[in-house]
Amino acid sequence: MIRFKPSRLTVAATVAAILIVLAGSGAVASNMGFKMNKAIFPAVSGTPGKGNNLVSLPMNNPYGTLNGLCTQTSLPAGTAVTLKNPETGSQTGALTCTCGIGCPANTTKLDLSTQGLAYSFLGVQERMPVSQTATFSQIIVGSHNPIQPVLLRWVQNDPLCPEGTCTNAGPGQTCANTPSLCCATNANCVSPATCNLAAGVGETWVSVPYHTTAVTANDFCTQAGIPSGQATIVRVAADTGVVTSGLCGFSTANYNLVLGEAVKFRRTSAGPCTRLSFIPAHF
Amino acid sequence: MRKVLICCSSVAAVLWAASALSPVFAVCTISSQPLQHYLGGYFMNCPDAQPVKAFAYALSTRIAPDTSCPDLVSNAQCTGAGTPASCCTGAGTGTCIPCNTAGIDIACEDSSGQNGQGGGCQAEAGTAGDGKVTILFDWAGPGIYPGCPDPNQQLDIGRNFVQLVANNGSSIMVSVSFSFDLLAYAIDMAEPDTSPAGPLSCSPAANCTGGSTPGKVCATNADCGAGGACTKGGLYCTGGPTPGKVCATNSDCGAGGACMEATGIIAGSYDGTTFCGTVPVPVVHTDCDAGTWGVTGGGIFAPICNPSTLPALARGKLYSKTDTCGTSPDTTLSSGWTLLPVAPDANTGAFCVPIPKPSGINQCAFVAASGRVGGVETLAAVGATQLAGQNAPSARAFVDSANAGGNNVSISFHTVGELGLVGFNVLTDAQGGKNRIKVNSALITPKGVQGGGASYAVQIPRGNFKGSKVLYIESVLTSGTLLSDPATF
Repeated sequence: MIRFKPSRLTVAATVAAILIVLAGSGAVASNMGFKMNKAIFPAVSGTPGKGNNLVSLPMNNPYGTLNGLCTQTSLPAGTAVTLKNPETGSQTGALTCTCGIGCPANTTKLDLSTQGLAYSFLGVQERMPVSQTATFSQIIVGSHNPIQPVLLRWVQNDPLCPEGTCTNAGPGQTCANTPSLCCATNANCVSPATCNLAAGVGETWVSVPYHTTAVTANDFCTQAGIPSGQATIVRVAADTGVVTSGLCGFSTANYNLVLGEAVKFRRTSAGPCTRLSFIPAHF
Repeated sequence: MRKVLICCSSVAAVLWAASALSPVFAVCTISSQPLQHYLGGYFMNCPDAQPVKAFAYALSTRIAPDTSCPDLVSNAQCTGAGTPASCCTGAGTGTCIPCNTAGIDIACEDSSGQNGQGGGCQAEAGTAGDGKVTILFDWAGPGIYPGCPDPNQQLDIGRNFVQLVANNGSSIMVSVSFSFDLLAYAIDMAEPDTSPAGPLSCSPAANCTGGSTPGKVCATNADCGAGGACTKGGLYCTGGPTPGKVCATNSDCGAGGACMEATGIIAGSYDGTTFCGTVPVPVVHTDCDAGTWGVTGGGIFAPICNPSTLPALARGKLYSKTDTCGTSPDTTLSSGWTLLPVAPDANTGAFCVPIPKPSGINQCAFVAASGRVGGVETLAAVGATQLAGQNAPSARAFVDSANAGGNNVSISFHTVGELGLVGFNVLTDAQGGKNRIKVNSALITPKGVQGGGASYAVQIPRGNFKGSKVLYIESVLTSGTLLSDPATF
């Protein structure tokens, strides 16, 4: 019988291997800091959608404001960085600025939950000027916050709707010519008035965790606890301008998520008019 | 293959021309406005081994605020054929559609493929050749095309229409309004409210009846095996005293009539110089059809059907072309069809139009009918029928023998050609010749292969003749009837 007698080299190699394995485990821990090179594709004149880079920012990040994102990641001057307020549907005004040109230091904070909104989603759109014809490599750093929930408002009556009770009142729902009358469909209005619905309300640009366990958009829907048909989930491919629209629970949402890309969640009128809170699953 | 290439090239050229003629139009400034199968639906029975042709457009009611895609626009915006100056005044032959998909490929034949905007096709598209097709387009997506149907993403604005023509000429036309829930024009809203949705089926422009493969999509009788016949696909009377009448069985069509599926043009008679027939009002599947997602919401969404946004459907124009007998020509009107000087009657759809027999060998005349949706003519024919050619053999029957024996009359007859033949009836002159009636219970199925002739032997109960001793064999064609000489027994 041959007796195993480890040499110093063997011991050193074993210890190194154990350390590597442990380090590897740590590397996929949810709150581990990371760094990623995110390709920011150029905009092309006359090609809508191309260059609309929807970027996932980590829940914990060092950027703070839109301007911080511009300067710390060295985005090319002229790049428009934009947030979306799902309460109003707005993505203009203080919710957008142009790097190096119109983006002062005190611009909107990236985490809208610090702006009085009960939301934290951190999906941001970055669109370079058409003069920037090359793909830009943006280095994004940060870490995940495993206890930070994402909130999705109901598409119609929320938030004026008392929890659990639906009414026809809500922002973005006024009838033309009869503004005091709230509506959900044109049938609620006195002809020729029509129901003006704010399409952008409820659209939430959600940052997908860099360590997400979701492979497809439907996986992400499932993790969010969204029943079939109760939200759309949309991806924008900035390199082609192609927008892929899917409905949770349906085959159209079987497309793969792309690392570093945020998605646009928008709940439909189906289901209860309560906000939906979820914590994205992760490794 | 050559034919497919030619027709595809023609369509591409026309669509390219349409887009090229289009000046600057409103474009969507929103991030996305899909027109697509969204709920797992698809079109079935749409032969798609080769690329299928699909075209979409939007029509506004022109009642504010639904004005983004009016069907009457300035001459400068006319995208149709002919002279723009007359096109958009309604006097020309072109169409004025300011919101359309132009030359963008919006049909998905294969789930691994892409549409003309680079979008990945839905899984429901299956594989090329399986007859499953999905629609995928984004009014705010890449490409050159005119219009933005619903720039403010409001309800009941810019109703969309999709017309698809499959490889065999079968087609489907669907219309949906804007879904605020999906921020899209979801084709599935016009499909049965199952989950996944639908599907809808392309109209069976030509299917086998009888033979070894009943129901099979076909081009000629030969595709249907022995005893089968390839017939154009809705059930209407062909021949008999009530051509064009909606029917369920042959008996609904009277003596000499046959109850057949029709794609939009019903053959009445053709004497070699004049063709008479009937054009029914075109069929469009919409989100207001009973049992669709648009009406019920599928238990998930609020219904989106608003009948007031449905445009009027009407008969269109008549076209003709010459092509190889027994084929299914491309029904896209831009593929060589010639406008005829006669239009179907606005109320009844009836028409008679001079159509000479083509002189070429094995060449047949085809007549097609377009439709009008909201006053706008359809891109492709809603139906087409083949007329016999100059040199095509007749499907007239020749009675070889007729003998009464026991309780039956045994009849033998033959044909020398069966092109365009649907089947046979046996007629007799009852009441002393005052009333010609049909004595067979069901249409006698043709046996001819590839348009060739065949021989037949049938037995008819003697009592059916009601004392008469004279009979005729009536050949029921896709374009009328032919009667044999009388025979006695």
